Amino acid sequence: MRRRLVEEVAQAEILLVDDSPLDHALIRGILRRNAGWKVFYAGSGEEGLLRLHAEPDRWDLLLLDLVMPGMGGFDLLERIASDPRFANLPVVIMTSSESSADRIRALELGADEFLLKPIQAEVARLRIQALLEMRQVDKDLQGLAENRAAQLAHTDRLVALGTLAAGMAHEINNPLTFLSGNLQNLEDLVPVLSADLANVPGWSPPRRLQTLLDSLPRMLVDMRGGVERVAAIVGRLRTFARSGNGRRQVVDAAMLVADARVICGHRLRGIDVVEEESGSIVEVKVEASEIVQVLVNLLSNAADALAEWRTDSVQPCIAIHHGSEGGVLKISVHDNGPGLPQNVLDRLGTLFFTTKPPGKGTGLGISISQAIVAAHGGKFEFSNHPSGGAEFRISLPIHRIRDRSS
Amino acid sequence: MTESVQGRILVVDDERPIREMLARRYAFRGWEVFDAADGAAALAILEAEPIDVLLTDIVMPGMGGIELMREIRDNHPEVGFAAMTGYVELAKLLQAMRLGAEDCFYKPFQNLAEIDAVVDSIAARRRNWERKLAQLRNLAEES
Repeated sequence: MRRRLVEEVAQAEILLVDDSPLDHALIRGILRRNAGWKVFYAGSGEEGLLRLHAEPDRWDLLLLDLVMPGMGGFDLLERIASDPRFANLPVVIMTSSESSADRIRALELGADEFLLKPIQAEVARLRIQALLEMRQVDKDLQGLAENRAAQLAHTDRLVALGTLAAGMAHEINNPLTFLSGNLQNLEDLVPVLSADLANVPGWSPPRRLQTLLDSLPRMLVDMRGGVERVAAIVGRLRTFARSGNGRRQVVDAAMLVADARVICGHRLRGIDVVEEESGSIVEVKVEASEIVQVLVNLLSNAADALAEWRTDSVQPCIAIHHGSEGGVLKISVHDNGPGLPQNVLDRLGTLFFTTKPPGKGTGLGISISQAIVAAHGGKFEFSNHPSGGAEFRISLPIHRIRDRSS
Repeated sequence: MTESVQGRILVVDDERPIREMLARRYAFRGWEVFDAADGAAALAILEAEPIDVLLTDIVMPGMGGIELMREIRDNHPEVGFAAMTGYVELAKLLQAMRLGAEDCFYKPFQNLAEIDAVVDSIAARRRNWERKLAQLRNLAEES
């Protein structure tokens, strides 16, 4: 850091404003020889001001004589004192007067240092060196601050983008609903219509009408496919821009399970749902709607698996267990279905992986559930149960355990 | 498609094309269809017509779906209903299910056959219930 600072300061360009060419030659010689800085010369206050205004960002330091004919050092200082472009420009006053009134006035106008004429080379070099280093540190800090501000602005933009995406997704949803719905209506109806027409005695349509009737099913399938793709994109946008309010509240784990069962509603009809809970009330601090969403995903996945597999010999059953175990809350959902085949076990949790037929699942359920549980500092696991069927388990940090009686 | 009337269904949604898409579907499937753009209009129809199944949007200007379902639960308990929504909002969903909604469907509907199945099962339950009621009445008259 220090080395870089010295290197950068060595490139400094200094503007010297002094009416005496002799002083100029002297100072330039001193500074060049001792530090290698480049010194540029302005022979009057007016010329100095002109050069400052012409290239306000160029100068790393201003060396200013106080007493000059025409525009003096104080005049020039006054002109640049209120200009924000020169707010960080170090100013070194050269004067042969030791008057403290002059010094105070110069300080008030933004001067940083004083060099007494005749200039002593080593003193001048050290003071200028210190000022240039300070200016460089100042610049670096400002750069850091600007970077940080830019990062914050970027985050703000991302949040705004998320909100925008969620809003857009919702706006797109309504037209998608009737586009997709009407296409599904037509898909159901066109075969019926074609059959009805074919049954009309003496029906012989013009060739173009027949071509249209023949092409319709294919046209509808393609359009429906397009609409589904848009719907999937919008669904993903909505999922990832989810405006979860992020508020975590303390809730009884049993309430989370109860809410999830209510939401699953008729999907669990015809299935024996067995709920076992431990004796005490286990409270967790979570974003309740998110955890309920996870449980709904698990319960409806189990119900779907059972519905596909339904046999007469086995009564479909889902066992939900929740309670404190090993210092964490464990909730497990275990069905008595066929279990998960190895290839599914391997890929489950991969984004957009689904075993459901097109139009049934988005392939988001498990990966979102995993993300939600992880965000709560919990674990999401699944495996086939030794007694058969699939088992999904989530664990969450416990906030508090209370006795049911209290 | 059967020619006999499947039942009487009321579709409630503030978005006309969605309302009509569903109305058209159930008309084709042999239902007598009524439709309304908000909860108040739906209640007026419920007062005037014997409705078997109601399908309602949740978020609507004016009287929304939650209020409508509460009215049905309190004043028209014979009407079975299901909800639909474009918003994924757990609180509203829970409210709908607790008020007795048979199910809640997210827009856009990936598979209208799922709604058909729920609508049909509500109607079947209603017919079953009416059959039992008729039997009870007969028994009462006989005795």
